[in-house]
Amino acid sequence: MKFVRGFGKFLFEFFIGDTPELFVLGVAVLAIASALLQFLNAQALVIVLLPLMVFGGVLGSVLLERRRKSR
Amino acid sequence: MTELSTSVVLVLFGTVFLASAVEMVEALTIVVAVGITKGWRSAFEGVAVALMALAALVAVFGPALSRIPMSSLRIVVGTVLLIFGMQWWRKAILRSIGVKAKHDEDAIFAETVEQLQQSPSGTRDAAAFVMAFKGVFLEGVEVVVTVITLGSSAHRLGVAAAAAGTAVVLVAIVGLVVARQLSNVPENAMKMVVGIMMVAYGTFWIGEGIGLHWPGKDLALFVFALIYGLLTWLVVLSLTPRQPSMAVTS
Repeated sequence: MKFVRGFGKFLFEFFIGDTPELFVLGVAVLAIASALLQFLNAQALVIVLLPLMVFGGVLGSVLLERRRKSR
Repeated sequence: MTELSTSVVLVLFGTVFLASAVEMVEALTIVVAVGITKGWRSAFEGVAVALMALAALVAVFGPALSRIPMSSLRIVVGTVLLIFGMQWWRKAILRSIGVKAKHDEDAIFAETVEQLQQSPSGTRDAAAFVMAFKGVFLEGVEVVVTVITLGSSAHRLGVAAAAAGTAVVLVAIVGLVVARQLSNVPENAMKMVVGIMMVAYGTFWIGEGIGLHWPGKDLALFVFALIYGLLTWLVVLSLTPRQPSMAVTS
């Protein structure tokens, strides 16, 4: 039980850690891109939107941390 | 299955090599600190057990991943690479613009030595063993994740493993020759490149996995890396605080 709990904690730290927003972003990017492709067959839109969402998310997280540190 | 061109395979090798080298420099710093402070026997025992544990991880997860259908594998691997890569990328940007302190191998070395000096010495030192084990295992897990995710999704597990192996051996040799922590390695720059490459791979594999047809096929990988790199440069340039101008006194 202790091992399972320790492994769970390790996985949490590994994938989420102090940046839960990036974990949510990764899953959201996948969900939005899949939905657009599945329901609207919007190939061109997803090609542009997917990298934009990724970069926008990282930039947002950087700016958030910068604001947090400047307080 | 997408047939990858030679240049993409080379990029895969380079990415895994850099990622593994960065992690191994961190692990080496801890192992050298343990070896110098408490003797090399416990340090090497910790390293050996950690390497066996890592080999067991590869033996369990490597074949399991090869049984997953390619499109599902690429979605899972793409998402993992994206999340993992974004963490590296974000951290490297924050360090470049001075919001986060740069990874200091000298400080880690000093901290490890200080911790070990508080524990009693002996032929077999439990604290030294545990510290060497943890250093190699925790950094090694990141190498294993990189090798398995990048290697399996590209159907080039051998290339990825060879790249990681080369990095581990090279860093170990350099470490043995200089017999100290490698504090002069430009770690943040390496981490930035690896983070961007992981995110480029993550974007590419997620798209492939959900049935997207990237224009230029696997060349899209280079385009992503280039665009992400260019945007990073612009962000670092605009967010880095300017030095206050020196007051001229007569």
